[in-house]
Order: sequence, then structure tokens, then C-alpha cells
Amino acid sequence: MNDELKVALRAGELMLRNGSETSRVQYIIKKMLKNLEITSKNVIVIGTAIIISIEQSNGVPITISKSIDRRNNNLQKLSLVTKVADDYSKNKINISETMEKLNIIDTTVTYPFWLRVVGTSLATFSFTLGFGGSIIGAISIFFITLFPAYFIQLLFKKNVPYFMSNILAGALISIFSLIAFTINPLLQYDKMIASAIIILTPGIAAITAIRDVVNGDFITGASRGMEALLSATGLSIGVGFIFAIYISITGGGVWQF
Amino acid sequence: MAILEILMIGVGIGFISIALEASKEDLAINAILGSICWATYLYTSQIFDNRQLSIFIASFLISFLAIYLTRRTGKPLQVYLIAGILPLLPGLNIFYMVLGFVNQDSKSILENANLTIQILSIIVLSLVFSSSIVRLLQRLKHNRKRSEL
Repeated sequence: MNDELKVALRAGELMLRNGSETSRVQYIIKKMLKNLEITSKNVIVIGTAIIISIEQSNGVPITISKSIDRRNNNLQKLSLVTKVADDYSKNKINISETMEKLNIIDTTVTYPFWLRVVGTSLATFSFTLGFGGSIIGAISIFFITLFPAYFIQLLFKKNVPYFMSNILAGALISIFSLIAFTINPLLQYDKMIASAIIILTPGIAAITAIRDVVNGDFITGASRGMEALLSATGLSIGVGFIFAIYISITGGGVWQF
Repeated sequence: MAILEILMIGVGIGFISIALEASKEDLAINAILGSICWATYLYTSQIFDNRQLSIFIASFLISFLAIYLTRRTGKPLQVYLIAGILPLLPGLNIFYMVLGFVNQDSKSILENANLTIQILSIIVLSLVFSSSIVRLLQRLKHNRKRSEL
């Protein structure tokens, strides 16, 4: 019985750690426990912890829990864990195979580091053109975001708190943007900034938070909402600080506010 | 020009999906969803001349498509939803809000904070609407099947 619980907990852990909603984590765990002969099961998932409690047919309860220290967005891992959980619940694979597959998923690297960095910068390049910006603006924003994108990925790898990394990334984007706008004042800064900011805005976290609240999970919704708010605050501090310095030095410079 | 914009938004979503570590087979799907989202937004903006309504319609459509794809592929909703909705996020409003703080422009801060909250709420509202409609349809289908038995 312990092994079944451990495998379900491991799947839940991977889902939560890779950015899943709590209701989905609960669904996956319950699905994996459905074949057990138990009288009751309770699955509690909050943003930073999973608790599974079952009552066996002989009346003996078992409870296991796992705290989740950090979260990320990895859409491929969410898909893979869902597939493994589905196969396990349909008895297509046994416990040891399931655990093995989950461990492999955990260590899988979807894309190399450099590709994620270049992908982020190319996204800002495409968004600038998509928002109606010029090709020069798009090329500029590609180079402007290249180093901050590298920095964000690196800080995440080094376990630096996201609040700090957002401050630094916001500041870096502002510094490089201001340099580019000083060199070429004709750049359409609004289109470029909109594309650059989109990679840092905690819109995804905010939407997931509200979805958690709508699903009735107020604790996780509130904590994720706070996370989104802190990310936005970090970003604002980074961007605001650099712009405040720039404006106080140049009196506005090329920027007509 | 609009076609190029729609196309570039799709390409951008494809690239951002790499940063979000979506699986390789989902990159193209996400790119198409991003393009559909932006095309709907641009088209409805021309008809209604109302940004909020356009965002609602675009995110509503993307939610439906994401739910459909989730049911077909068995993958979590987030895989398709996040990428599809990304172009609608109010990045520029957040930037202007920060700029308002720097310039001590209370009007700009309030205006942009208000718009940011409005847009995020509209996106969530459309998600809730679409998932509620799908659940309702499912329940109706289930009830009809039960009554036939």
C-alpha cells in the first residue's frame, strides 16, 4: 500500500512543481489511487504541499506528505506525467515502471539552456513585429533581451528567489533599452517594451491564481496571487529604479513623457 | 500588414513555448493558437472598437479550443491555454504603470492599474464561462444518455 501512495505522491509532486493547478494535481493523485482497496481517501493540495491520507479496508489509516519548495513552468513534464498517470490507472504499467518513468521525467531536459535563452529573445523579436513595430526595433529588442533572458534562466538554475531575479531582469532590460533608445531615438519604444515585458509579467501566475480561487481553492489562489504580485513588484522596482536614475540624470533625454 | 502581425505573433508564441518547455509536437499547435487568438482580437477590435470585449471574445475562443485539444490529446489544459492567451496579457499597461510611479503621475498609475486588473479579470471570466459551458453540455449529454437507458 505504501508504494502505491508513494508513486501517486511522486506524480503529484512533479505536477505541482512544474506549474500545474492544484485541482489537476488532486485529480491525478485520485486517479492513481482509484484501483486501491480502501474505504476512504483524502487528497489535500496547496501551493507548497501535498498531503494524501487513506483508510485501508482493515481500518488502519496511512498519511504521507511532501512539501514543494520551488515551482517552475514546464509544459512537457505536465503532459508526460499525465500520460504516465493515465497508463498506471489503466494498469498498462506497474508500480516500479511508473516510478522509474516519473524519475526519468523529473530529470529530463526538454530543451538545452541556450535554446531557451535564444527562444525567449526570438519571441520578443516576433512579438515586436506582431505588435506593429519596425524590423530595426525587432532586431534591437532581440539583442536587448538576450542577456536578461540568459540571466533569468541562470538565476533560476542557481535557486535565486524569483523576486530578486525579476528586479535584476527588469533593471537589465531597462538599461539595455535605454542605451538602444539613446543611440536611435526613432525606435518605437512602446512596441518593444510591450514585447520585452511580456516575458517577465506574471500574467500566467495571476491567471492560475484566479483559476484556483474559482475552483474553490482559496489558500493556493491567495498564495499564487501573492506570488504574482511580488513578481510584478520586483519587475516594477527593477524597471522603475533604472528609469528614475535615467530621468534624474538626463531630465528625460530622448523620452518625452 | 495584419496578416504579417498575426503570423509573427504565432511565431513568437512558438518561441515562447520553447522557454515554457512545451513538448516539440505542441510548438506548432501553440503557434497556431497564438495566431488565432491575435487574429480574433484584431478582427473583433475593428468591429466593436472595444478592447475589453475583443479580449473577452479572443480568450473565450482560445479557451474553447484549448479544452477541445485537451480532450483530444489528454494533456493538461495549461499546455494549450497559457501559450494561446499570452499575447493578450497587458504587458504595456504594467510598464506604463511603473512609468507612472517613476514620474509620480497618479492618473497614469490608476488608469493602467485599472486596465491591467480589468484585462486579467476579463481573461479569467472568459475561462470560467467556457469551462462552465463545456461542463453543462457534458452534463446534458450524460443525462440524455442515462434517460435513453
